[in-house]
Amino acid sequence: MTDIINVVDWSRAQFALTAMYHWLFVPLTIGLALIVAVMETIYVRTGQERWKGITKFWMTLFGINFAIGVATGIILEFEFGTNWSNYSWFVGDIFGAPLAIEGIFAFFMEATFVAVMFFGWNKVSRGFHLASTWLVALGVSLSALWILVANAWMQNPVGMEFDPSQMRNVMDDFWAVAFNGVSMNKFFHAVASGWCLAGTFVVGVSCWMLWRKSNIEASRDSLKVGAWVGLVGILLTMYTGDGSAVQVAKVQPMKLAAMEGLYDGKVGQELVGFGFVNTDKRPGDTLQAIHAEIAIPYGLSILANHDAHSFVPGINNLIYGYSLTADGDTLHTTSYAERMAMGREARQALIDYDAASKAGDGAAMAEAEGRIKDNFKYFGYAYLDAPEDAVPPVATTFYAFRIMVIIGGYLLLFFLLAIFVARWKVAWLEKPWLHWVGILSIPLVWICSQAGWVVAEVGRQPWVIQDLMPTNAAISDISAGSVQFTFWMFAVLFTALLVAELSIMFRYIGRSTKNDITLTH
Amino acid sequence: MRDFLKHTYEMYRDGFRSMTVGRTLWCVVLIKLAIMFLVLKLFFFPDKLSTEYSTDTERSQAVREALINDRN
Repeated sequence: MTDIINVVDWSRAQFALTAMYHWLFVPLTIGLALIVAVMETIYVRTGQERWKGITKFWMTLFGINFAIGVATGIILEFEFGTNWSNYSWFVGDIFGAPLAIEGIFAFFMEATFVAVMFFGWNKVSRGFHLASTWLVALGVSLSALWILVANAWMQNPVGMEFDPSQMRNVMDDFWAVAFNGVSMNKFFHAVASGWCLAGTFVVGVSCWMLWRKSNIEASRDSLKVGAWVGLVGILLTMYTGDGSAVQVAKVQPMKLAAMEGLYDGKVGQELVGFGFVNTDKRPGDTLQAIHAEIAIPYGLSILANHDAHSFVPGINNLIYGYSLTADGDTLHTTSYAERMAMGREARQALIDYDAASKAGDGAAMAEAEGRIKDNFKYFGYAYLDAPEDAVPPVATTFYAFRIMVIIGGYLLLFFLLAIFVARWKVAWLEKPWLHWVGILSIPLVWICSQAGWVVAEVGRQPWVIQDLMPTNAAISDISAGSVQFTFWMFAVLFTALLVAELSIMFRYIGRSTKNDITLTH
Repeated sequence: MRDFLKHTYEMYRDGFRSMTVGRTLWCVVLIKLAIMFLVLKLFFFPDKLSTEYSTDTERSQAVREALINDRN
């Protein structure tokens, strides 16, 4: 038991480490590809050579990030096969198909046109080069699409049927898997957040060059493009974030309750604007959930359902079940104890199916398969010891959500300020305070982006596949020691890559302050 | 077609020759890929089901038994 817990914890830590390092590179690649494409479009439309130089400068930074970050995600696939073999097999072709599409289509698209983008200056026509740059931008976003489709399926498993003979989920509706509300929201939210992140990066680096009083015109031009892309990005991120909240309320209401530290929901539920989570609070007790709470009336009902007078369930409501009357209809939810009973029935049916299969009893297999189907939607609850085990870490989810939202709100003001200064208060571009606001915003946007993923992934615990498979059932039969060892190997490898990236980037940017970047080189 | 292939070859050749930052990046990429595929994948991250079982039937049976026999 202890070893299993250790294996699960170390494997989760390893996956989190790998995914978070990977996500340092990905959003910058997505966003910078777009910004470079916009800059090159300006160059082609205006014919001004300085825009070619500016494009090449940012393209090189894109190249550094792309090269260092490329293939870091493959390690996640290694971990699936070694640490999470039950999970890997159980998800079947649902994970395989999107990842295969990503590999064949998006990766080759990127690989082909990245070469034209870097090596094709003066070798191919301007139009073809520009098209290649846009195709790279499209390709990196499409790569993200298929990964996010796979992730969204874990949060909202649809479009499949479980086959007990193969022990796999078999995809029966590709379109439902690929283009459901959760996956689409997740995709646009992640891509738009990448634009926002890269916009902050471009504004921040431009501010640094302004502070160093080098490449002043080019920095101003870059700042304008970065700020506009960032503004569009943050507005789209907020819009899709609102859509994500509605989706979470529908398919993962426990995650939403954890995001708010909400235990007992009500009609017209307020949103916690400020507060501290009481970490001693447990489901079913009478302790206060949030200390020093400042609430926004009706906020959560509006956020979750776009209806100020709607009911939002809390953790206790979800665990112990609740009834809700609306429009004359009464809805009784399934308590987690009932779900556990159904999950255990599904697992017992699987045991019976296995015995019947070994005995070659077709009729008994069919009967057991029917019981599996009837109860499969709560299959994962069979692996919980108590209904309360289905509550995610509330404090982590609560604070990560607030970090994301607060920094997101700041970034909106940041981009508006940058655009205002670039358009109407050009003299402020010489103010050191403005330069430092830009420079110090760079780490903030990464914290915001990582916090978003913490909400998404910690908030869905204990599920690796929502309601179907908890994390502790997904794990392979391996030793905790081997996972610990590779955890530290990855920590060293990824830190080395990050140091390499930062050092190459800083050196390149530092060298550029001594040259005129608008001179095409 | 020959012209296209020639131009493509020249684009890559000249591109690689004129690299500045790219040389360092290629070194980092090659070292990284070597560590990932020749060390990590080979020695530390075998695909557990693929290496321990030879057929899909055996693999599905192994997963079924793992999920039936609750280890927790």
